[in-house]
Amino acid sequence: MEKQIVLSDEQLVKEFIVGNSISIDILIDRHKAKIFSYILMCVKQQVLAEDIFQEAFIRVIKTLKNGRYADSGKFSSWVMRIAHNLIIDYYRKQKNHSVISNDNYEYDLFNSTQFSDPSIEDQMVVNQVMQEVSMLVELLPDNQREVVVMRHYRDLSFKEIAEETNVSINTALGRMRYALMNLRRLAEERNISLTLS
Amino acid sequence: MSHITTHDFLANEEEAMYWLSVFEALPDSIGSEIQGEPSVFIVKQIKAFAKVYRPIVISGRIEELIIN
Repeated sequence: MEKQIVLSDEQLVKEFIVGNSISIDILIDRHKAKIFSYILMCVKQQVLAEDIFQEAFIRVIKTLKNGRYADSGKFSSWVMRIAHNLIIDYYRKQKNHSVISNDNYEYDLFNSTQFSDPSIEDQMVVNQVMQEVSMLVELLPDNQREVVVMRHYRDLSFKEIAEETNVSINTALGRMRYALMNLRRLAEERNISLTLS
Repeated sequence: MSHITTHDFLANEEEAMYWLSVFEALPDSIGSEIQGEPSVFIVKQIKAFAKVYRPIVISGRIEELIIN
């Protein structure tokens, strides 16, 4: 019978520092749910949470590889602290946005249903549609899914997508075109309506 | 009456601190029971970065090298 050896976080960190890249894969898989959930609870937006999650782990990797990691507690707590600092940085950047004042108007321009929060029903419809879109995107072939995610979830230009995926812009555009055609077909096959009212 | 509104970012920071204390107190094994996860694509990107990132020392300074 095979005996599985489970390495601790500290052992995996040491392994990664000396060059074993599988170790960081194990660490990421072990802690990604907890760390991502923490970030999502704070920022409440999936895409923003993924950006912060990615940036946090990039800092983790750089710190480990640059020999600056001081083992002083739980690995997951350390990563969460990095994520926490990134979340605070994000809030502080948002604070610098301009403040809106409607003091000089008798009629409150912003007192309009146009600017009010969507109703619970509208929110549920939007959430449902976004979940279904997300599910359909997962069904796409890898190269088409990649372009859709980079364009619509990471907000990259086609030039940036082409550079990151090492293809020409025309190829990236073509993949997006086929991705949209496939998404429409998949939605029709499954009788899914993707209309937002 | 003033109608100036600003988002209460201080409340956001306090909330973040609160959630940090909650999540730090959770055992690491809770990860398997949590449903929220980053997308597969993001995780793959991070793992790929870990494989190619190489810091090297040039003239006493740590420079970053990405081997593609």
